[in-house]
Amino acid sequence: MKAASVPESTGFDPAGLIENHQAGVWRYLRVLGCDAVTADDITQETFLAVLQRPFQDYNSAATAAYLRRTAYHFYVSARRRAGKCQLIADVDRLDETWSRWAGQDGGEALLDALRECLGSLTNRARMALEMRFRDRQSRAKIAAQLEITEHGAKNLMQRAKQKLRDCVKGKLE
Amino acid sequence: MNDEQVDPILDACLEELLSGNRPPDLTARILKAWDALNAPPTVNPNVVLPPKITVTKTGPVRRANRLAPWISVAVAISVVAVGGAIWQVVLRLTTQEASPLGPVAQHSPAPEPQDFEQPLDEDQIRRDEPAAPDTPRVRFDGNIKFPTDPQPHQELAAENIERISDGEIVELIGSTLETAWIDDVEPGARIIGARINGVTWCQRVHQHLLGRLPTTAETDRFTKDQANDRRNRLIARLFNDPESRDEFARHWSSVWTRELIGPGEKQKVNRDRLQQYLRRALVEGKSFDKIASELLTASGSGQPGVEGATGAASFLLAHLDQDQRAIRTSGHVARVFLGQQIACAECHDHPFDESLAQQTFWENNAFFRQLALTQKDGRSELSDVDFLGDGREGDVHFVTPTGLLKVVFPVFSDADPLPRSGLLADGNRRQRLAEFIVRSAKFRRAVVNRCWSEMFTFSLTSYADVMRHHPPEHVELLDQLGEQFAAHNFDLAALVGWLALSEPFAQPSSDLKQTLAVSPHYGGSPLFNRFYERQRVSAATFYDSLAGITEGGNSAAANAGGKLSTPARIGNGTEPKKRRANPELLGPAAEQRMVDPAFQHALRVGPSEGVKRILNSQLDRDDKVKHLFWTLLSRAPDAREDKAIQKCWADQDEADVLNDIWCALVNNGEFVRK
Repeated sequence: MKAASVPESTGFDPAGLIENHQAGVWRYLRVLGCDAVTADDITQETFLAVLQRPFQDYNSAATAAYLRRTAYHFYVSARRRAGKCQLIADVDRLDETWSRWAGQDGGEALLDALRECLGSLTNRARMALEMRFRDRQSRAKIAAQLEITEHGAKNLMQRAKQKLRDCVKGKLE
Repeated sequence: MNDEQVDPILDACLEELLSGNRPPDLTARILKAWDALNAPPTVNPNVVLPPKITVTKTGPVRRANRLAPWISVAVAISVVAVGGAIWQVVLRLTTQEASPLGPVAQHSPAPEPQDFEQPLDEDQIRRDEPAAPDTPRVRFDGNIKFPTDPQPHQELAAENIERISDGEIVELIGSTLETAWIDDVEPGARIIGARINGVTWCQRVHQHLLGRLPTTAETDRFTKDQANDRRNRLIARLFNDPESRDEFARHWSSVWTRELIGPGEKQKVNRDRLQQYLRRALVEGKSFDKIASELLTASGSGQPGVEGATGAASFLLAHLDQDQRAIRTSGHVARVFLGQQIACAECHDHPFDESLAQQTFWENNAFFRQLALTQKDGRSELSDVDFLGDGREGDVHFVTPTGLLKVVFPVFSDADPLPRSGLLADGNRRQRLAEFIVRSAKFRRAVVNRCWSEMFTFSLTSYADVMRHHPPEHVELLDQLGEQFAAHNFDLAALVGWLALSEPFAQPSSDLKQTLAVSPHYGGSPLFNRFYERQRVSAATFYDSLAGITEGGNSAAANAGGKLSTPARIGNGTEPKKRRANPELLGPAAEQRMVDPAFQHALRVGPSEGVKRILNSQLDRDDKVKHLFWTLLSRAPDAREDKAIQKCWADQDEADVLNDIWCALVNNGEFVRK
């Protein structure tokens, strides 16, 4: 068994590489748990590191996977510098799911699917999710506004996310 | 996929969608930082280096002068400390005002090596040199054109092996090994013992070809044959007689089942079905390359009673992982059919074998990615499905120990690469792999080496499945036997027959003092100038050999001369459950056999069934004893033994005496070292 042949050199457009993949890297970092500012920094750090290292661009998905892996390493480094060790439990499985759902376009189709699926939720469920993810309200406040118990708010959001999960899965797979 | 993997993705997307926190356009910022990194280092003209101060000692040193160096050190430390504090303050202010990595990106600490590290290659080394203005710093290569219909392997196509006769092959084995038997002390002499007698050879042949000891009638028949070529005739008879051929198939199917799926009962694997498949194939005379192909390309379930079920599927079912990545499958197929232990290369390059890179493992693994394991009605099934690829183009991704992600496609040795697509319509990768494997020289060498190991205890290499790391000691012989095995249509029976008729097989098993120091039992390389016996008769051989004992009325000692009926054998899938040995216990370790339930079962069966039948036979007392001796040791009791037995008759009844003799013989070193 031998190594694959080395492809011939072709032209390279750094700006094109960044434009095509930055959104995917940034979103992936957010999935890993980065806040927005840190995601900006690590995205930049990732591209700077990759631009300094030659690699073979087999296809867009492979390049995206390479960038994600690089970003993940920088994320781990950042967490270590901050003295924190809590990470996603199974990154490989998470990466596999992300690759299947958003590996081609950096997550645009996933967001479109999610947007459509949000429309299928009830008003109360959608309102609960908006308060949670847009207004960053606590569960107690959400429960108070919807006039239900905290446990009820938790159940409502869990059911809504389960419905979204199934809906998105049906659209993307 | 469970919810734990989905929820972080869903949460992040919901937050982006509902809060409008879209990913920013960082292109300009990254390019600016990239340009800054590429800028040549500048020298600040305002920085003036202090003049070099030379101190000249004149006169006696005062106290103030003695303290001067310490004061300088203290001042320097203070300056550094104050400077560091100021720098921290400035850095914090800067990070609060602007993007943390914007203006200070070039000062960012490098990632820790264990987290992210790129391998140094030629381009990266050149990066430190001034690059030509129009030379891109990063090379993007992406247009490899693979042929859609790869040509056959050039080496295999051009191979022209001359087929020689069976007799010449047998001569070849002896003459090749003879070069290692030359006595260094006495020129011209060979370090070799006297050939074993015919009876012992007959026992050995039956044990290694049929998996049992010869019956008394078979031994008798062989000893009565006085022709010069009686050994050839015995081998020919064993392969031409349908009953013996079936026994050969049963024994060698058991051997290869153990090689293919290992010891132990495995979930989702029907071991008996695999053995039945192999047995049927060997009885039909199917070539071994065809058997290997069928094992590698089998689909469906290994369970009986299912439409499309085939025992061959059990091989891959035993090694296929639930995660569909076929990691174990790749390693095991290479080990069994190519004699290469590549499993360690899953995670890293081999430390000193340059030809075994991590990439090699994953290129091999890419052949199995169309293989899917599905559950249907509680059964595991193999099927071929389209492999979209980790990058959706039939590619396989893996991460090197340095954190670098690499992309590979199926490549076998120096054969032409396959088309990249993983769609079945563009080609079945498993079928191509099977073609590559059975046509490769490694395959035939691996099969020959395993059969040699089964016959002679030691293989022609240090380890039968690690030929790559440990070059064969008998390279020429292994190559030539491999070629002839291929030239004779991969006939396993022919291969085993050559080995049985060869000179090493007829050597005594006792140690030779000239080569004792280099005995393989003590770490040396096997010279095969003596027959390296296994420490014990296997459970299967032992169990099957009991059949001879139960045939009390047909003893050679009684000159009955009748043909022995074929007793029930181990593991042929047709005998009653209670008489089948557990194949798990047929492993190579002698210690394992000591506690082998099948072995113990055989020991229990002997007195209770075998001796009982002898006891009830029409033989007279002495003939019953002789029958036991002939069956277990292929000889009559000598005078000393006869005398001891006669003493037993005086104070014990017949059943007790026969039981005692039986136990003494099966625990005798002469028997267990057969």
